[in-house]
Amino acid sequence: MSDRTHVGCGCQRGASHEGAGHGGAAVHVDERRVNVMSVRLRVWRQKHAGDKGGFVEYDAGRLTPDMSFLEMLDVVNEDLQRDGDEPIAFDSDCREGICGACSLVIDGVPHGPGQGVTTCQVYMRNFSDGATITIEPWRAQAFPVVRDLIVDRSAFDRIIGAGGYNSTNTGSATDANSALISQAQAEEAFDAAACIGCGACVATCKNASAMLFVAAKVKHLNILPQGQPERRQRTVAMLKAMDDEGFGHCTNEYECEAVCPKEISVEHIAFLNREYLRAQVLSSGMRPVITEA
Amino acid sequence: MALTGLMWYGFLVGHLAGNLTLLSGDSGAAFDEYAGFLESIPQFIIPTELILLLALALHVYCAVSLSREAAAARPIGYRQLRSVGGRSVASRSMIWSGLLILVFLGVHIFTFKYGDRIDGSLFRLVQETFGHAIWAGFYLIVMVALGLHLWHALRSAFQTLGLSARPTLRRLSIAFCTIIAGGFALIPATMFLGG
Ligand code: HEM
Ligand code: SF4
Ligand code: FES
Repeated sequence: MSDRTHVGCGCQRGASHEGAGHGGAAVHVDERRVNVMSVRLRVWRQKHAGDKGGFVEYDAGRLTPDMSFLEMLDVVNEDLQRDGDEPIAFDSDCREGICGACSLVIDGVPHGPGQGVTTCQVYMRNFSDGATITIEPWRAQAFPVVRDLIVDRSAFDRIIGAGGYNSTNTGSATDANSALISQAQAEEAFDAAACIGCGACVATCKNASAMLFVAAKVKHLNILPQGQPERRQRTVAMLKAMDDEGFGHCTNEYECEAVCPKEISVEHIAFLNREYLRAQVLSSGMRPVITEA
Repeated sequence: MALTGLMWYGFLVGHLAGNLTLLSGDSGAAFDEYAGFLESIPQFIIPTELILLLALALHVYCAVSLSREAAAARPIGYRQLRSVGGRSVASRSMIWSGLLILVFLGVHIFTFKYGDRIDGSLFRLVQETFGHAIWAGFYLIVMVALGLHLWHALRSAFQTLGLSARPTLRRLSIAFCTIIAGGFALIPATMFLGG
């Protein structure tokens, strides 16, 4: 079970996600009836943050092409546990592409083969029978490995905390139609808000930059009326938080866009750069904007 | 990074335009006249040189710190990392193409700006230099690196400055950089072959 806090990640669920932990979706295979396949795994194993870690190879049999990649790992883990070995630790939660918990670099690509999918939406039919598959954790200074394939992504939560909020009046709720938003603008904000905070963009970037994530988080608030009071402050503060967490700088390679499960466009990064220049030009960019209640 | 780099684009366009007079086929009359003209306006040339030098120093400083920050942001690398997006030879090698350009700039200024002219003619010095396969080859290799650097740099700068990242601008970058690097490369190539 993931222990991430889901601050502004788009996940609609509460804190308890029942029965979705490791092993929750074990599949029992009747070998006479289904198309059986096997693969060889080369997995990063690391006992704890301070451990040096290394790759360990496993033969995974009793698989079917219809299994998801994570179900395949569940099967491997059942075998490991039966033999008294430590199961492979990996993050997952919703297993339907909405929470952003799953995070594996599969054969050199974050979230593995296929466009617009998370790791939990990758299926074994994407691999050929007998293939060797390399599985690594996200690699970034700001995402330290907690254990095996699980990394600590709380750096993202701190970036959100630095500016991913907006001021609202307390008291009686305002009329829903009081702030008019055009359809086109709503769509654009939704496109950015689709980011699930998985960190694949950082994982693939040669500079381990979090620009795509920050761009998505800044944009969906900065283009809506509700986001205006903190607009400049948000842009500056979230970019500063990104630097402080030790993410690298964007050099515009656009690898992030290609692995993003929500297909967040690098156009949002151009927008973020524009917002940053704007905040710098308008002198109050650095001053916290406090709106009186 | 983007601003300091873009200042050099301005220089490159002017420098190329002037240098193409080398190929005018008049035994260097036009080129020597152009060089003489530049030397006759030091009040314009010297400030320009100083500004470009300052921009270059800032650019190199930013480039080196960017590369170091990137290395620090991922201390433990992947066993395997595959490109599925926009990574290119150019974008991957910016620091190396950049450093090669830096070395080249030193050599280039030393040989031509401070080199001994032949019978007072800069054209004859250039002609003599590019007559050697080693020099012509060195220039051609550097121009490939320059082209790659300019290609990624231009589209990157559009994005950094908050303009779009869309295909039109990417194509514009390719076209522009091919013209600049190709134009410069034409000079040693033609002079080597033409003798
Ligand atoms: C005629 C000379 C040069 C020109 C016209 C030029 C131009 C540019 C421009 C416009 C950028 C884009 C910046 C951005 O997107 O923010 C850039 C990036 C860069 N330049 Fe240069 N540059 C030149 C020389 C050099 C030199 C001598 C170095 C040596 C260290 C260098 C290293 C870099 C690096 C490392 C980057 C950026 C990083 C990246 O996008 O991967 N450049 N250059
Ligand atoms: S921008 Fe895409 S890849 Fe990056 S955190 Fe958001 S959903 Fe994941
Ligand atoms: S487990 Fe929720 S997105 Fe994959």
